[in-house]
Amino acid sequence: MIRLDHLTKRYGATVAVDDVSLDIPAGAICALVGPSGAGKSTLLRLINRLIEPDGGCVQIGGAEAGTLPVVALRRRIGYVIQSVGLFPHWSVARNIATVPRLLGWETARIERRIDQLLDLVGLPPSLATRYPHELSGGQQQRVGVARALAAEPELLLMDEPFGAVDPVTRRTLQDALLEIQARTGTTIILVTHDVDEAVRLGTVIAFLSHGRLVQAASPAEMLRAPASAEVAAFFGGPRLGLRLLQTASAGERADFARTIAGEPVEAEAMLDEVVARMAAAGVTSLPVKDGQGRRGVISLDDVVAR
Amino acid sequence: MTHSTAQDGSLALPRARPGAPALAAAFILALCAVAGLAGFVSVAPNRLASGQPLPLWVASGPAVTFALVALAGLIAGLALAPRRPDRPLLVALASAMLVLGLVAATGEAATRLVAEGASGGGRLTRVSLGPAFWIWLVVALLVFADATGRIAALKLRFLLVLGLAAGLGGLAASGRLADLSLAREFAVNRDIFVEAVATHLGLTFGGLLLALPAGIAIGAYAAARGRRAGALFAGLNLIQTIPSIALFALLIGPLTALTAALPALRALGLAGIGAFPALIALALYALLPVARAVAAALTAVPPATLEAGRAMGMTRTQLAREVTLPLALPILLEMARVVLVQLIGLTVLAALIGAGGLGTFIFRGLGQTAADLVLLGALATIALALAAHLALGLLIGLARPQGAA
Ligand SMILES: Nc1ncnc2c1ncn2[C@@H]1O[C@H](COP(=O)(O)OP(=O)(O)OP(=O)(O)O)[C@@H](O)[C@H]1O
Ligand SMILES: [Mg+2]
Repeated sequence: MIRLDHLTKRYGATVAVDDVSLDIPAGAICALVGPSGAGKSTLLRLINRLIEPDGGCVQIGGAEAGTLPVVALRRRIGYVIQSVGLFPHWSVARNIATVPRLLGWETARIERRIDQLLDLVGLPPSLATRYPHELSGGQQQRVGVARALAAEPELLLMDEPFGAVDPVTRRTLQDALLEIQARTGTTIILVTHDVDEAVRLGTVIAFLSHGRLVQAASPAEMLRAPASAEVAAFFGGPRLGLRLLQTASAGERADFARTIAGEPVEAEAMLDEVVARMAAAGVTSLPVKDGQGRRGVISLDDVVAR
Repeated sequence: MTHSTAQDGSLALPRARPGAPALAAAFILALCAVAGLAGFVSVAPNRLASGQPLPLWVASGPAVTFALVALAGLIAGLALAPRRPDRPLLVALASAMLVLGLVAATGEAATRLVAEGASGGGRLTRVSLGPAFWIWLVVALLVFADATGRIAALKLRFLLVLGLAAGLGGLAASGRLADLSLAREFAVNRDIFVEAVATHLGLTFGGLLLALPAGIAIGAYAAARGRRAGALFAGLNLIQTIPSIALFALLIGPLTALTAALPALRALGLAGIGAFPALIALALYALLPVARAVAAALTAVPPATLEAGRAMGMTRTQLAREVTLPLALPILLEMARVVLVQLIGLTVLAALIGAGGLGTFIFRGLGQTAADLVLLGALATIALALAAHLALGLLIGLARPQGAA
């Protein structure tokens, strides 16, 4: 779906994006991580052509982005801007309606879509008539997400979309995003500084540093074999192993041939939750049950096995 | 509510703080004493003789004096009384009545004094406005401006201001003021006066229009350049530091030389004195504020908002029309108001280089020591400036985007 081909962008002496090549398959969620100033935002801007590359190119769905009409291209790409950037003189509803209006949707359809999106990002309908300055930072950010999703874009670029919301809401929004993604098959490129978010949402994680792509791999692979000390440090250094527990579920490791007594954990629960339960109960194995009612057992050995 | 809206495109001249009504009341009481003793009108046998001051009760009699003092007392009482939501409206109405009453009283006094041939001058008797009248009038107008500024509803504010203006116009048109020396001076000069107002406005707006293209270009450049445009503004600032009279005079030399060198320009009616240099001087003065306004308005649009607009797929025109303009317009109008009021005042000086306008009356009056002539020009200039201030205030109120904090 998206192919970055030797993409380079310079600002004077700084090389913000340095010869980056990366394939992101359709329907993937690519979590873009890396230290501040690594070039993550610049990379997103190159994709929707807010800036033009100094070298290389971006291909979207097989066509070179540089050859596509830029306005039409951008209307197909949802963009959640890092600094939110809502239109201060427009109500929440009007902000969300931006792209549908540009695309000339009918009013009734736009209104339905606004209600739907407010619900999706967990904002009450009463907020629709408010103005951005009357919202909290986290609420503004969610309006920004709703605005990006409005016209059901094929590609969604999200620059730290949930940075300002509380952890519980953040998890709800992550779930909502996963659900939308599963339903619509939208390809998502998401910049985040939250390692847990990257591991939880990313089907692939791309690590950028000083404009260069250091590593691109699935979360499990990246945690198991970080390409450099910088990547390892980013994912927790000595505690990196704990994050590895977030990449697999109990069902994947359980032995369904036998079972033991006790309160079972769900098969979808991630391994970190299993370890937490073991620590709380003072045991080294727990019963597991899955959606079909099968029962099994998972032991600490299964959890740490590679 | 009242307070937040009082900040929107305020029509009032002074932006008074809460508690100012009490202050205004104290003012009125103190001034009443002074104003009671000084001359309300002054009577002279003819245009050249110096006048004899008559205090209010002598000029207008006890009934009128009592009525005016009672009205002032009512305003003071309202201002000191406990707060109530309709207080600003009541104060505004009472002070508007006081203004009208004061003006009407001078007119009545003049008519009576002239009929009596008070100073032995018969029909030549001249009744002019005295210091006590001006003190009363200024205080009443200040209270009016303050009170209307506190009224939340923009429409009501405008009705009040228009009502007062119409009342004053009506008084003048009714002939009740005809015996005041100011009115006589006006009657004699009516045609040149109308022409002077037209010329004045023509010069002001002409100067502004000339300044707009360059000002907008400089402002847009400065907005794009950020801090590096500092030198540009320093240069424009230099123009502002040239004393205004000097600037008008300085242009005569080069422009005379220019038109002498290029007869084609002279054929177009351009000359070293007259409207041409006046327009250029006014445009030069307007340049800095216009450029500042454009730069301020353009940088007031958050860059993230512009980036979002572009990223959503707005075209350049859509971005300008739907985002930049609505966000920049209130600031532009706010600055336009300042520039316009400033230019209307400056245009008075254009008369010095033969360009006409209301300055003609002021400078002719100064030359002939005819105070009424000076007053005619000055009052008209003030009225124009106030009208511009109010009209743009209305526009600002209408243009303010709802979402702006
Ligand atoms: N318009 C610009 N002009 C000059 N330099 C720029 C510009 N935009 C970005 N840069 C530089 O390019 C580099 C990458 O910036 P970018 O915004 O992409 O970083 P980032 O990875 O998004 O950082 P953060 O996590 O802090 O948002 C930085 O060194 C930055 O200073
Ligand atoms: Mg960034």
